[in-house]
Amino acid sequence: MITCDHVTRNFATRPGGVAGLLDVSVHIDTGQFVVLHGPSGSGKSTLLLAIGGMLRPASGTISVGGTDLYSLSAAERARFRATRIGFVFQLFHLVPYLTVRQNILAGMTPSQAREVAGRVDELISELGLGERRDALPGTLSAGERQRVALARAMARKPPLILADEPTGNLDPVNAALVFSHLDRYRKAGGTVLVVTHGNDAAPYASRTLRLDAGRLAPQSLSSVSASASP
Amino acid sequence: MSLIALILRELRHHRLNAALSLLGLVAAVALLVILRHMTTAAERETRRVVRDLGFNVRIIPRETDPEQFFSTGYSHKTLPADAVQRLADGAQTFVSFNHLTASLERRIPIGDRDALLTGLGPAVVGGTDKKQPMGFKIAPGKAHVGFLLARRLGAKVGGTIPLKGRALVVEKVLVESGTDDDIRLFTSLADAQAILDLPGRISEIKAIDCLCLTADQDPLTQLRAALAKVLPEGQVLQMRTMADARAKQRRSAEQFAGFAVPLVLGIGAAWVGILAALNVRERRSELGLWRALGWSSGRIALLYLGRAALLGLLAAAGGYFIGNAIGLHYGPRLYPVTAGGFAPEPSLLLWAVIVTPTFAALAAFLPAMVAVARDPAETLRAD
Repeated sequence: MITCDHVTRNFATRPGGVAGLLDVSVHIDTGQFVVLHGPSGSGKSTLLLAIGGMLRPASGTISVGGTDLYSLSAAERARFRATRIGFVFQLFHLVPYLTVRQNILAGMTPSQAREVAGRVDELISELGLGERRDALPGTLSAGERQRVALARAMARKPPLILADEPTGNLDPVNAALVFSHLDRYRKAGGTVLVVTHGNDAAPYASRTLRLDAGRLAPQSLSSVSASASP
Repeated sequence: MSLIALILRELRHHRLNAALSLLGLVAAVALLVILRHMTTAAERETRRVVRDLGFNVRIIPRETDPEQFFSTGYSHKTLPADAVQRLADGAQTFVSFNHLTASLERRIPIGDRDALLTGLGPAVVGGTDKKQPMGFKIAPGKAHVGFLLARRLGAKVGGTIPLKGRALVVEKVLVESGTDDDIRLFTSLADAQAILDLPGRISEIKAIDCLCLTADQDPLTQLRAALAKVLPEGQVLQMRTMADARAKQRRSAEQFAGFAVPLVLGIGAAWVGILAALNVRERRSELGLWRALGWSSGRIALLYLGRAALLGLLAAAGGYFIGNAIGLHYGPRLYPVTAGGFAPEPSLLLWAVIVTPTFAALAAFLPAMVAVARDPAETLRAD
């Protein structure tokens, strides 16, 4: 599903400081629930965004589903991202002036929205947002907001979901709820890559990767969580 | 969701920014509409003032002695009457002159004293020129009588003045002017020619110079050069004080418009641009999200430019009506002489509807391009 080959990306952070990715190579199979963890500034989000086609590496290649992302034009990559990748962010990134349902359908054309309308209503029910479907994000709790973001990522059934610290602002109950939904998605055939600096995703992981100062720790390449089953 | 629906929801959500942007654009459109009313009125008023000042160019026969001309106020020599038409037919004439009016003047006895007799032909204006001819039209058999002459003769409107076997009907008694016009009898050119026994002759062509000639171009030299090509038997005298007054009046109106219009446009553009930039800044997170959801740069640019254009469209209508209301209310007070000339200009609405959204989109262009060029990773990265 995902292949990163000698991916490097450096950028200055503070005076004298450099963060990024240093020669990262990794392969993630379809149907895996991969947890990528490491300390702050280790390059986790950078790798996630690069895999999501939003951050071009300085060198190396990244392919998703057999497509070399950065050989595509910006417009082609945008189309690829729209149909093949779902994103969940720590800060939810909901559009403040759209309702819950409209946020889930955000980014879709009216015809695309009509196609997935039924599925969106199912997701709203499954994620416990039925009562809040016409509410604006400003009136939702953090847990509800993240569930909306989750529904948005899943609405078009992309083969890959990338989640960047999806539970960073949630209490343990809501965090577990988010991971269990991502795990169900994985069990339904999707691939999930979660970036986190904690261990709360470990019970769901079929594989764990660790980044330290932009380098993938050696054990990451083969470690598979014993508790997870594909 | 369609782009327009998204824009409308965003405008409703960011009400303050939308309202301030709209306010700036409405103010700019309204000011331009008001300026248009005022500059048109100033031009109209200038024309009226110039008309009241009278002709500032006099074309007299070449052989006229200028000293004689200035001592008597008219030329003793004459030109053929068709000189006016020949001058009017000159290819470049109306670049240099306008409102060509043939006249024949002489000092003659009227009653027990001398008076001035002036016969005026119809004014000839440039071919496509829609300007009203200057001066006044006098029909054959009618007369306009100067203030002092009318008092001496006891002339009243509707009465007659006998002159060389003709009875001229007094059409108008002129107000006191403090010039030799107060002892002048104005008639039609044909009547004057008959009275003076100078058929087919004129003593001068009165005109005004074209304001496209500026002082640094030495207008008199150019007027003389223009006349020499089509009417070599004439010579030009320019009433410099009147010409300068007229030029200054017109230039001051043009300079004001030339200063105010770019100023309003500049302030309007800056206002809209700054608010658009603030809007982009406020929506950084949303912008990153649209990128993540696969929106193209073009669609994101359309989101911002479309927003600006929509505000521009609303402002065009609002600004036009507000500008018209203010212009038509205060304009007549500022320009009372031509107050009747104020009227709504519907063509301005069409202009506003086309130009304002384009202007607003252009003002928002830079912030929109910043939005498009922004790296989504900057706003989406949590690491």
